[in-house]
Parts: sequence; structure tokens; C-alpha cells
Amino acid sequence: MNKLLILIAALLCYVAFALAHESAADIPPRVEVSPGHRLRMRIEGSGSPAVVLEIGLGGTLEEWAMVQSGVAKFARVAAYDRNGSNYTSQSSLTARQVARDLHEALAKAHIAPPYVLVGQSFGGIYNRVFAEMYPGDIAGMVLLDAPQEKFIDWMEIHHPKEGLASFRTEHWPEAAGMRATLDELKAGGPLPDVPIIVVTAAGPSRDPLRTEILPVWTAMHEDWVKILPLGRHVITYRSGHGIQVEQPDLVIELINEVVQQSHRR
Amino acid sequence: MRSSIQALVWEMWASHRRGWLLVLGVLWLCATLYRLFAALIQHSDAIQTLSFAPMIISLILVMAFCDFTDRDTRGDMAGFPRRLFVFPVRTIVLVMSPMAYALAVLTGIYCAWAILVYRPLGIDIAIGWPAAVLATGMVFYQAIIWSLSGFKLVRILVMSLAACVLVSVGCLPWVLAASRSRQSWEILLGVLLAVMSLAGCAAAVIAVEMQRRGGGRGWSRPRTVFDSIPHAIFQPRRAFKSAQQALFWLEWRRNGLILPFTVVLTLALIVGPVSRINGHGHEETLWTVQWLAILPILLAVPIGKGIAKPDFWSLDLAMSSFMATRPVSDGQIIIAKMKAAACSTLLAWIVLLAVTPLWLCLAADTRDLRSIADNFRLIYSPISQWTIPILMLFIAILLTWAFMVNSIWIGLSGRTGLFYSLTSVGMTVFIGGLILIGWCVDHPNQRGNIIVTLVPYVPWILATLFTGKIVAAASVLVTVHRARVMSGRTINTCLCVWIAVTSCLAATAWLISPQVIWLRDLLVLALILVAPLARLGASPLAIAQNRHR
Repeated sequence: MNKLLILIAALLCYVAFALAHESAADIPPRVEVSPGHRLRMRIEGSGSPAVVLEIGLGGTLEEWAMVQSGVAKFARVAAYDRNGSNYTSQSSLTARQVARDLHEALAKAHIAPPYVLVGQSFGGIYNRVFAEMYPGDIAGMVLLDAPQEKFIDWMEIHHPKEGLASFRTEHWPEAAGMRATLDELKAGGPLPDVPIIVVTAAGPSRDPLRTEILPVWTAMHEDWVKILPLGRHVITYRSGHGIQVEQPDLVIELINEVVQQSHRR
Repeated sequence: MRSSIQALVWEMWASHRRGWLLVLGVLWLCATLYRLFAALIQHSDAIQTLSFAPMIISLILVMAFCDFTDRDTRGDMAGFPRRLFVFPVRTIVLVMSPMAYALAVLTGIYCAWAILVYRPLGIDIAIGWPAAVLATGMVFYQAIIWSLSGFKLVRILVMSLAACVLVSVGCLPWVLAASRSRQSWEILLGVLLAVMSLAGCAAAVIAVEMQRRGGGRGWSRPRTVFDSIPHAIFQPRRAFKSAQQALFWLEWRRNGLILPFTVVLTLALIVGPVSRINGHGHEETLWTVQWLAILPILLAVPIGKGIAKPDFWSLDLAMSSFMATRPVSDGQIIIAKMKAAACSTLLAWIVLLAVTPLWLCLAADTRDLRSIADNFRLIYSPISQWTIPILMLFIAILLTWAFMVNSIWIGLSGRTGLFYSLTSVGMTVFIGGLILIGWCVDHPNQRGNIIVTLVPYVPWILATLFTGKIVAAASVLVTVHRARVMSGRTINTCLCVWIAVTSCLAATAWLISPQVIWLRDLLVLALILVAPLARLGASPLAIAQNRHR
């Protein structure tokens, strides 16, 4: 009886420490971009171009878990928590600072360009500013249901309460820098001549506002893609705004498409 | 004493002198601490909500101290002190003096909290209307407790009903504010409260006058009828098959309904009115559902401390000779307590699960909830969509039960100092944890840094805690086996149950986060700590010590 108890106890303790070890080893490390200023970044896979995953407002890199494990099979892929998102300190940064931080973090993590940038929601705007600042480092882009500056202006006119004002900083700390980010986007130069896929999530939603604005949202994506030399517009009817979680297979497929195109170029 | 009124007031003060000092001490302490941490309270809605807890507890304590009752010689339910019936004053003075004292103290303490504690923080809580409602509540409380002193069940029911009516009236000015200004409703309803209070005073004076004259004989028949109701419900119809069954019945009758009853009261007196005042919008609905989901767990924490003692209502931990000399083993006593706690927990959750969907269907705006359910359906596979909610409910029930029983090992040991020290530490940690969670909810900016900094250490801390738990459990079970307090078979059964439950918990964690490995392992480590083992194993040893000292 006593020996059996001790055996079970020893086994359970071993399992607990094995789990602790696995958990601690899997926690994304933090990359220092400047003294006292670090970003969480998870890197998987190998190959070039490297894929960089940028989440929308308030999200964390864990939202990319399904996409990242799929992309790691054919490319090196880095998901990170932006400075200003929930898990970092400063909150009133704009897209240019975000881009500089990311560029620095990628260099510190020894992830060499070119990059395929994948941005979800507002992360797409950060990606566009990054691409405009470092055009030579970009191999392609996949923008997942990312807002358009024209659409944001349209919202400010037609639905001002649900526009930028609805992003309260107590819920989305980095929302403090949104207006300045949009100004930077509008003042910026053109995007590099690389493959860009714009995905519109047109899946059913319980939110009446989303259903109402969906035609405008889709049309503006369509218009924007027309001015991109290597742009392609994909509409998915099986997913809402969180495409990376709802349809990870589609996202992996589109990233693979851009990576293959960059290999051919 | 210069006058009879002075003597009565002195008696009320003297009988709970330490209690009054405690209430005043808490008031002073909170006034000081809240000023020191003013910024923290002002900028966090959750901490601000929690900051009202000491005020509510002290007001409940004041009401308890003002009941002004004595038990009669047969130990029946408490009523107006019979020894004062010979006091040479008119009944109206005898009744109104303690009532006036209680009203003055209760409203005074409330006003002190509002003015001295909350106003300096910029939290401007209403004074007049809540004080009027509290004063009426005090009159009702005393009137009911004195008038229905012989009616056990009826008194509880009338008191619950009165509390519901009063809370409803108290909420009306906010509910009806759309049709007329809140102030005008307060004036109108204030007149109603004054009439109700006068009726309560009159009822109390008449009842005490009757008791004073040796009256109330005409009540003996209804009293017998009412008293027979609980007996008819709870009295066993057949002889018990075993001592274990009898023990369970006794435990259930003594403590079984406390948690379900408290859940019902909290729903009726706090959640319902607050939800009505806040409105049933989609955000408010989500907020209310979150609170409902943790309500039995929160209530199980203090109730579990009471159930752990030999007698729930007594501060003394010594076991009575009747209890100590019963021809049952220590293990049987523990198992009866655990079974009664399990039934109590299940009943509390059944009540909650019956009320919540009803409220959601009838009154609430479930937009946010449906949106969460949609996201849940998108993220998880069809099997997980069914399994995870069921397992989460199981975890919530298990947590409630764990809080109900995890103090038995110390509560039945008879060590008063140790019990109250550990209880104080536990409650402080619990309240501190709630404050920390509240702070994290309201400070997304800062919480991120804390979480990211602490997360790498958490798996190791949890693994160490689990190892400590397992080592303690193994040594306790070996001692229990050697001392023959529990048979080897019982220990094996308990271990098998624990392993099965812990496996279920681990499976839940696995299902919740299948992709993010660090989070999945962290959840597994946290959840396997939930099912109690060492403390339950130590319980028979503790009770053996208490019985034979």
C-alpha cells in the first residue's frame, strides 16, 4: 500500500515537472529592440522569404497559432506582439515607430529580408506603413480584412459613433496612436511592386452594423486592389473578421501562394 | 443609570462591545487605506465595486448586533429579552428605545461610510434614500424577530419576503426615473416607507405587549402547525439503514440548505435589483452572466469555513459530547460532511442553472453572449463545442465543492487559534486575489507587462505546488492508514476518484487550448490543483484528535 502510494506520488510529480518544462520551453521569448524595451516573438520553420504575422488591435501572437504551425512547414515564420498591444508597455505609438521596432526586432532575431507581411485588421495598416518605409525588404503581402483609409473616412461621416471614437483606449491601449497612424499612412509613398492579396471576410455576422457596411467594405477593397499592379482580391463567405482563427487553412494557402510567387520573381 | 432608556441603550452597547469596536475599527481602517490608495480605487471600476464590500459587511454586522434578543430557557428561537418584561417602563418605551438606538446606529454608520470614506475619494454615493431604506429594514428586522419569536420557519420566510419587498421598493426610484425625477419618487416612496415603518413599530409594540402579559396563547395552534412543516419535510419516514445514512441526514439538515438558500437570496436581493437598475443591455447582460457564473464559488468560500466547524453558527470548535461519542468512525463523519456538501453544491447550481436561462430568455439582451457563442463555435470542433461547456460546468461545481470542504481538516481539529488564523489568511488572500483580478481587468496597459514577466515562472510554481500537495497527501494517507483511521479499501477508492476527477480536469485544459502548448500545459497544471486530496486525507486525523482530547 505504502510503496504503491509513493510510486504514484513520484510518477505524478514527474509528470508535473515535465509539463512545467514543456510549458516554459514553449513560452515565446522576448527580443530586446532597445534598452528596457522588448517584444514577444515566436519564430518557427526555415526558409526564405520569411513570413511576418501582424495581429490586429488588442490581439496577441497566440491568435496565429494555427496559421503559424501550418506556414512553418514551408517558410520561416515569426509572430510577434507589437509594442503598444496588450502585452507591452508603451501605448501611444504610431505605425512608423511600430515599423522601426519590428525592423529592429527582426534584425535582432536574425531574420533576414525579404519578408512576406501578413496583417490582420489594423495590423494590415501597420504592414502597409512598414512596406512603404522598407520597400526593398518586402517580397509580398497578405492583408486579412484590413481597413482602408477611405473606408475609415467614410465611417467617420456615416457612422461617427462606431468609427475611430469607438476604440476606447482602456480596452485597446494602442488605439491612442490610431489617428496619427492614419495620417502617416496617407502621407506615405506607394507600396512596392510585389504580390499583394487582400482578403475580405464576408461571412454571416450577428452585428447589424457589420452586415450594413459590408457592401461598402467589400467595394473599397475591390477598388483598392485595382490600383495595385500585382494585387488580388479574395472574398471569403465562410469567415468573420478573425480569419486567422476561423479559416486558418485559407490563410496558409494564400501565404503559400505569395511565397511561391516571390520564389518565381 | 439616570434613566431606564439610558440603561437599555447601555445594555445594547455592552452586549456587543467588541463587535461595535470592530465595526468602527473597520470604518477607520478603510477610511485610511482608501485615502492611501485613492488613485487605484478611482481608476478601477472593479476595485471600486470591491471597495463597497467592507461597508456592506459592516452594515450586516450592525443589523446582527442590533437584534436585541435572548434565547428562552428551552433554547428555542430568540425573541425579545423576557427578563426585561419586569422592567418598570411602559412597553412602548421598552420597544422603541432599542429600535431608536438601532436606527441611529445603522443610519449613522452608513452616513459615516458615505461621508468619511467615499466622499473624499470623489465617490458620491446617495445618503438620504439608502439611509431611509436601511432604517425601514432595521424596523422590519426587529419587528419580525420579536413578533414571530416562536415561529421558526415562518420567521425566516417573512424576513426573506420583507427583504425582497424592501429591496424592490429601494430600487424603484432608479427604475421609474424615466417617468418622473428620481428625487420626486424618493419623496413619494419615502412616505410609503414611513408608513411601513410605523406599521412595523406598532406590530412590534403589540407583540411584545402580548408576550409581556403572558399572552400569545392563541398562537400555539398555528405555531404548532407551522413548526410541523419542516418536520414533515425533513423528518425521515423510515428508520435509517445505516449509521452512515443517519449521519448524512443529520449533516444535510444542519448545513445542507445554507448554500442554496444564500444563492437564492443573493439572486433575489442583489443580482436581480442591481441588474434591473443597470438595465438589461448586452454589455450589462454579459457582466451579470460573468458574476452569476462565479456566484456559488464565491459564496462557498465563507460558507465552507462555517461548514468546516462542528457547528455552523458557533464560534467554538470543540465538539459536543453528543457528537464526539456517537458510535461512528472518524472517516464516516468526514464522508457524511463531504456528501452533504456535494448535495448542497449541486442544489445551488441547479437553482442557478434554472434561474439564469429563464432570465436570459425573458429579459436580457443576449447579443454579446451569442457573439461569444458564435466565436466559440468557429474556434472549436463540434465535439469540443459540447464537451468544453459540460466540463467547465463540472469544474465550477467541483471548485464550489472544494471550497465547501477544504477547511474541514482544520475546522474539526478543535484548534480555535489555528482555524481562525488560517481562515483570516485564506480570506485575505482570496480578497487580495479578487482585487488583483479587478485591477488587471481595468488596467490592460499595465497588466500585460506583469503577465508577460510572470508567465515564465508560473509553470514551475504550479509544478512545485502540485508536488507539495502530492507529497503532503502521500504522507497523510500513509499516517491515516497506519493509524487505522480509514481502511485501505476506502483510501484506494478515494485515490481512484481523485485520479479520475484530475484526469477529467487535465482533459478539459487539453481541449480548451489544443494549439498553444504553453497555455495548454499551464492550464493542465492549474486545474490538477483543484481537486482536494491532502486536506481531505488529513480530516479524519483532525477529527480523531478533537474527539479524544
